[in-house]
Amino acid sequence: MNSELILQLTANGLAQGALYAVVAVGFGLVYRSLRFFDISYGAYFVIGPYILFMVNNKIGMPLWAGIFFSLIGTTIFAGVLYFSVYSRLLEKKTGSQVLLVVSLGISIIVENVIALRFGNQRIYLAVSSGSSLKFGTVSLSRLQVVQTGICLFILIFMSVAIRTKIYPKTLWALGDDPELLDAFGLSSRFIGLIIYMCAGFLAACASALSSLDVGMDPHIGLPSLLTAAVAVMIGGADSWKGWIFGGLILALIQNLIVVVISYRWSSFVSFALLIAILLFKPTGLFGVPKRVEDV
Amino acid sequence: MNYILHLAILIGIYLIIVYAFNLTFGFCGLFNLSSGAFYGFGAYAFALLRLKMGVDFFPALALTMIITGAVSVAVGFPSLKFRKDSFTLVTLGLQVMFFHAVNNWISLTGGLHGLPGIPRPSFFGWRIENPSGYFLLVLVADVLILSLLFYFYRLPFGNSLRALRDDERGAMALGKSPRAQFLWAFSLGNAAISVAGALFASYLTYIDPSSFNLDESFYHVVILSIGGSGNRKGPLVGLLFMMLIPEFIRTIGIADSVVFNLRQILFGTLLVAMMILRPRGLAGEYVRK
Repeated sequence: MNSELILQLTANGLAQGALYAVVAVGFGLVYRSLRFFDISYGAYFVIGPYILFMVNNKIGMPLWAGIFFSLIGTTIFAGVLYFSVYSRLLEKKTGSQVLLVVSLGISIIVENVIALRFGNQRIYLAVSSGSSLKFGTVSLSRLQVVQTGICLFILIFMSVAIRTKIYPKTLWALGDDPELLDAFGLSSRFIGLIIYMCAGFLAACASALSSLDVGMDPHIGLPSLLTAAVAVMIGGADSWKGWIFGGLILALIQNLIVVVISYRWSSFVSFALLIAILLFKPTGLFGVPKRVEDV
Repeated sequence: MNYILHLAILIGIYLIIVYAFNLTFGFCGLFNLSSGAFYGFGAYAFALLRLKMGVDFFPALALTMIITGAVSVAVGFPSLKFRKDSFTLVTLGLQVMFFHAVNNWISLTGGLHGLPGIPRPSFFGWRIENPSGYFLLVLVADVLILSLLFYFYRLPFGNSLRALRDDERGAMALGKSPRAQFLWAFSLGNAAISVAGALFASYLTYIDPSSFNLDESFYHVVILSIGGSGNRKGPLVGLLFMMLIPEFIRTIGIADSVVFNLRQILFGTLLVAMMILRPRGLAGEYVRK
């Protein structure tokens, strides 16, 4: 196999991996702190791009305004969703299975409302991916470079924030013991709201960036959610580093798979990898098994 | 009349699915997302046995059950090491892997084009061609399989599954092995679901992967979540609710192009409302006196 091709595929994988990492961080935030598998996270990947499309194509505002409103709109939607549905259920100590079914219901509603309004077909934004940039033998489109740059900025910013600021640390505390958090005078409801809005914002960033390249359709939510969930579980649900590297590993595998087998099998291989990791290292690649006294 | 028969046949096929799925979802309390895959596995195994190997209807049905049961044991053994979200994710993985396998293994499954021309059932010189014949066939299958499943529900087996669901450690202390019991439930349930898949394949005479994707598994979860699970009433209530509401929407004269989306929106709303108001479903379990 040609080494230039492998290099090119690795570069594409890394660029896509940055995007996956952002998606995984959003999912990981909710999963780690509120401890349930939130299917409605996929809905943000539908809402964000369609707001962008509405603002940009229907209202005729510039692209940057479209992206801005898409970020704001999705973040607000996530906040409203949390405040009106999830926070109430979490306060009632509803089981994670019921929360999962509720989130499935919300995701079904959003997907079909969008499909009803905009149709089921894929919509492309009139954005040119720009001339390609050469890095030695590897070439990446300008759009890919911009996407990767923005994603890296977000990841670095959040990684620094989570190490140095007190608020991001509370999300870990929320996942471990929400009642204790309330006892210390911090509102678990408010922190949950911030986490939800943060997840919505990250999903909106990733979905807006990817919709510039591959367009949008109402059914994009579930595959995006699955990507995020697989990345988080591969890396380790309890490890911030794991979410980011989980996304990178997943993207690299999905890109490099063509060296061995057809690209169509990439989802199959991703899930086979997930099951293998869950079987042999249930805490994920970067997770550390906890002793009972540490919990 | 034919349309009512068609609906009755589909309800009959789904009755098998929901009652079999109830074993893992309701009795074991395992959030299983692979039921669509085993439904598809049964349909494809049956279709391939009939089409490529020329096996007769009943032997093909029996073989489908045996193969699905064996595969369930092989897959369930490692999967049942997990509980809660990890089990959900593993079964989600199985579902997605199954869908991509049938979608991409074109030489065996026909890929996206599916498998057409599945022979109609024929036995003892009788060939089923019309919907009323199918209805009888499905009715007989329902009576047999549901009786068997209800028997399992009532046996100490059903109670030990519920005991393991409610307090795994406690039930283990009484000598119940969660792995063995759950594996039985998973395999028996999937073997029964494969019969539904086989009936579906022989009824439509054509199958393709789109009938067995993740949405199908979600549909089974929705039926049991709305109706209730872990008992005998819940699945029936959920199924009738989910099957008859779209028919009601159809009768009020909404354009066909939007019926599907409206139906989904309605289901989604009902699901959210139900989970907030009655999380155990319309006919969920009650506290035993």
